[in-house]
Amino acid sequence: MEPGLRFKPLLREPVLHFLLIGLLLFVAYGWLTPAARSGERIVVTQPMVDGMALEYRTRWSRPPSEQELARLVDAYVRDEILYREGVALGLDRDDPVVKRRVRQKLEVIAEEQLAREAPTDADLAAYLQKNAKRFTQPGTVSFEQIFFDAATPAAQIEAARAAALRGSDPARLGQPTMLPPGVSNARGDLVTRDFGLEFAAELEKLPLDTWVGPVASAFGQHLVRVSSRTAALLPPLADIRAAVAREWESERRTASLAENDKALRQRYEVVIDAKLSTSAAVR
Amino acid sequence: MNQPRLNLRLAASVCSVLIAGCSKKEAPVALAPPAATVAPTEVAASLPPPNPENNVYFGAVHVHTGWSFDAFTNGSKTTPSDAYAWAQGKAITGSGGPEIQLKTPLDFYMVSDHAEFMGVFNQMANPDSPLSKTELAKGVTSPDANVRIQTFAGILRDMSAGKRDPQLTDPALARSVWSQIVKAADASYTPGKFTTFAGFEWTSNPQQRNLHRVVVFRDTAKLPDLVLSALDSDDPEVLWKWMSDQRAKGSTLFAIPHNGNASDGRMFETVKFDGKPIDAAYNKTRAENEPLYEITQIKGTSETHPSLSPTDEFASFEMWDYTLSADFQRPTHRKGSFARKALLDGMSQSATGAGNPFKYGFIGDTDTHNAAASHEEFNFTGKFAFENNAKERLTGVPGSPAGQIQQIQEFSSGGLAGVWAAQNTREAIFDAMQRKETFATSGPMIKVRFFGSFDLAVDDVKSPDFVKLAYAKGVPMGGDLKPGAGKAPTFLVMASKDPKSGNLDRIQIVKGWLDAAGKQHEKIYDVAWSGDRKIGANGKLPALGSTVDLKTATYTDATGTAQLASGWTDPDFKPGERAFYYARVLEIPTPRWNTYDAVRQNMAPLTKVPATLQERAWSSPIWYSPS
Repeated sequence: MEPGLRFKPLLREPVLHFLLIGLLLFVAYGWLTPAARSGERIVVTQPMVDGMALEYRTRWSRPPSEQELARLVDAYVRDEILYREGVALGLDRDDPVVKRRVRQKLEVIAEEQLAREAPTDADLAAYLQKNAKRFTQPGTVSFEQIFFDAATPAAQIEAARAAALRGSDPARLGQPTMLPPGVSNARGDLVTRDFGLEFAAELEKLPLDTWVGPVASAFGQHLVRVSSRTAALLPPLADIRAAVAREWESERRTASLAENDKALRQRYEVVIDAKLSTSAAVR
Repeated sequence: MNQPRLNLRLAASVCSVLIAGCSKKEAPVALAPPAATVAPTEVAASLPPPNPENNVYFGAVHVHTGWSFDAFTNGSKTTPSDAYAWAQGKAITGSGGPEIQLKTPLDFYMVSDHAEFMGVFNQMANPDSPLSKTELAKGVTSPDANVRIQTFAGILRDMSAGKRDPQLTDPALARSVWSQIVKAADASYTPGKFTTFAGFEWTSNPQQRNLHRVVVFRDTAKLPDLVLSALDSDDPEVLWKWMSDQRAKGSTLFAIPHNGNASDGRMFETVKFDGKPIDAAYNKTRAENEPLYEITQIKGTSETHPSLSPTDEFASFEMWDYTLSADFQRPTHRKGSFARKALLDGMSQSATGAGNPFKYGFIGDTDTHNAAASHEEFNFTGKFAFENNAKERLTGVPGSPAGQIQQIQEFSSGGLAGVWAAQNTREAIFDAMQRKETFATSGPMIKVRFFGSFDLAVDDVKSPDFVKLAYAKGVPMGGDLKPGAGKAPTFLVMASKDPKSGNLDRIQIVKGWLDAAGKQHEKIYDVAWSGDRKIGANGKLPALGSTVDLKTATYTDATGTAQLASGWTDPDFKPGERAFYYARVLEIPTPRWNTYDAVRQNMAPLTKVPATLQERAWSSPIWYSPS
C-alpha cells in the first residue's frame, strides 16, 4: 500500500484525535497560566507590604521607616528569587525538612477538620476512671527531723532522742545539714527527692507524735517525729476538670491523627520492594 | 512546573476521607485547649509562708517542644502542655515511641519555644475570636468540607509566602503560637507547688556562631503580642532595645545567654556587633538585661577551657567543641567563649571605668527539643526527639554522617538551675534569678549554699544558725562584698548530694582577680573534701578513684561523702585588687549517659566519648571591688 493512502484511516483514529486534543490543551494551558513559564516576574503588592509593616509595628510598637520597610521588601525579594531558583533545580523535592513542614501543615488542617466538641462530663468521668492512676494525688506527710552523720554512735543518738522527748529544742540537738528541719504536707515524691528512697519508705511505717530513730537516709541518720499523714487520693472530677479535659483532648487529638493516617494510607498501594534484613545492622 | 490543580485534587481527596470520620458539623477546635475549658489557675488555698532564709528550688527554663520548628522537623510531637506535665513527673509519649517520665519532679519549668506566626489560622476556628467573623473564616468553617480544606490550604500557602489578606490586617487580630504558649504556661502554674513562666528563645547565630538568649517574663499580666525573632535581627543590642521597649510598656523580663562554647569567641567579645569597641553605655545595658548565664547544657559546658585554665584539672568537663554549622566546624577563638574568662574580662572593663558587662550569675539548663529536660544522667532521653530511642542516641540515626553522630554522642545530659527563693511562685523565683542567688548543676540536685563576708568566722559554718548569721552578716551567691577595712573576706560554703546521684568528692572555691598592674589571674582552692586526703606538694588534692563498674553501669558510696561544709578565708587577698569567687562542687565519678545506655541496650560502649564523669555544681560568683 502507498504511504499516502494510510493517512486517511489514520486521521480518523480516535487515538490521534485524543492526542491532538491533549496537545491543544497543553498549549492552551501554557498560554493561560503565565506562572507556568519560568518565573522572572516578582510582584510585591500593597497588601504584602502592609503585612510586613504590620508585623514590624506589632513587634516594635512603631511603624517601620521607609528605609526599614525597603530592607524588608528587599529581603523578601531575595528569598523569593533564591526560592524559585531552588525549586527550578528541584531542591524542594525529597527534602526531609520540607516534607516534615508540609506534613505539619496537613496535620494542622486535619486537626481542624476533625471537628470535635468540648468533652462532656460523662466523657471526662469515664476518662478519669480509666486513667485514675495518672490523676491520683500522692499522699502527704508532715514531720520534723534531727540529723546525725553516719559515724555518730547509737548511744549519742539515743541520748538526743531522750532529750527531744523531754522537750528540748530539736534545732540544738543534731548536726548541721542542708535538709529542712521539718516539712509540712510534703508529697511523698518530694520527700524521696530530698531524703532518698530508703528514708521515705521508712517514714510510712513510723508512729505519730513521738520521736523515733535512728532512721537511715542517703545522708546519715535521723531522729524523726511524724505529726500527720494524708493518704493518696483521687480528687473528684469537679476539682481537676481542667487537667482531665486537657489530657482527654490530647489523647483525642493523637487518636484522631492516627485514624487519619490510617484512612489516608488506604488510598495508597504501598510496595516495599526491599528485604529489611539485608539493610538492617547485623548483631 | 507549577501544578496548583493537582494540589487541590489531592487536598479534596484528603478532605473526603477525613469527612468520612465526621458524623456532624461542629466548630473546629484550636490546637491548644480551647479558651473555654482552661480553668483559672488553681489558687493555692494555703500558700506556705515565705521563708526569710530562702528555700532551694530546681528547674529549667530552656526547653523546646514540637512547636519549635527545628524540634518538629526532628520528629518531636510534644506540646508545651506535655512539657509541663513531664516536669511535674507525669509520663508523656516520647516522640520516638516509648513513654518518658522524670524520676523526681521539678519545681519550676519554662517552655522557651521559637514562636512562629501560625496562629491567625487557629483563631479563625475559635468561635470566641473576632477573626471567626471574617469572610475567610466562613470558608474555614464551611459545612462543605471541600471548601474548608481549600480555604485552609490557601491561607497556609499565602501565609508562608508572606502574603497577608487585607481582612487580617487589624493588629487586634494578630495572634500567634506565642499566645498559646503563654496559655499553656498559665494553665500549669500552681503557686506554691509548681511555677511556670512565659518566655521564648531568641536564636541569633550570625555565621553559625551561637549568640542565643532565652528571655523570661516575670508574670503574664503584661506581655507583648509578638516576640522578637532572630529573623528581625541577630544583634544583641537590638534585643536589649526591644526588651527596654517592653519594660516601658509594663513587662518585667531578662535574658539568659548560653553556649559561649559554640560562639567562636563572640558571646563575650569586647566589641559590639558591628565591630566597634564596647563602651560604658553598652556595658550598662548588657548588665541590666542579662543577670545570668547558662553555664552548662546539652550542647556542652562553657565554664572554662584547658587552654585558658591549664592548671585546672577539671577544666575539660563535657566539652562540646563545635559552632552551630551543619558541617561540624570547630571554633578557633577561646577568649570570648567561656564564662570564667568573661568574668575576668568583665572586671578588666570595670577597671577602665566603663562598668562590668559580664557580671553573670550561673544556672544550668538543658535545651532539650523534645519537651523533657532530661537532666537525670541515668534517664537521659536526648536533645532531639529521635534520641528518645536509646539505640539512636548511641549510634545515630541510620544514614547520618559520622561527624553528626559524633556531635550527638558528645551531647551532655541536661543541667539544672538551682534557685534560693522565699517561696515557689513566679515573682519569688524570678526575683531570685534577677539578684543572681542561683547556682548551676550538671544535672543532679546538688544543693549549694555560698556566702561571703568580712564579719563572719570560719567556724560559723558549723553553727545551727549558720544560714541566719550568714544572711545577716554577709552576702549570698550573686552578691557584692563591700570593702572591709583591709581584712580578708571569709567564705562559708555548704553542699549536699542528690540522693539519686553520687557522693560528693570536694568543694572548691575558684578565685579570679586583677593584680595592681591590671593583669588577670585565676586560682582554685580546695576547701572541703571527703576522707582524710591531704593537699600534695604540688598544691593539688589527690583525685578519688572511680567505683564505677562499666559492665553494669553502677557505682558505690564507698568513696566520697553526703555533705560537705567549710569556712575559708582568702590567704592571698589584697584589698586593692578586684576579685570574684565562686564555689564549685564535684561528685565522685559516676557513669555517663552513654554507659547507662550501652549496658541497658546490650550494645558496645562508645569509644570516643568518656564513659564516666564527675557531676558538679557552680554557685553564682560573689564580687569584690575596692571602692
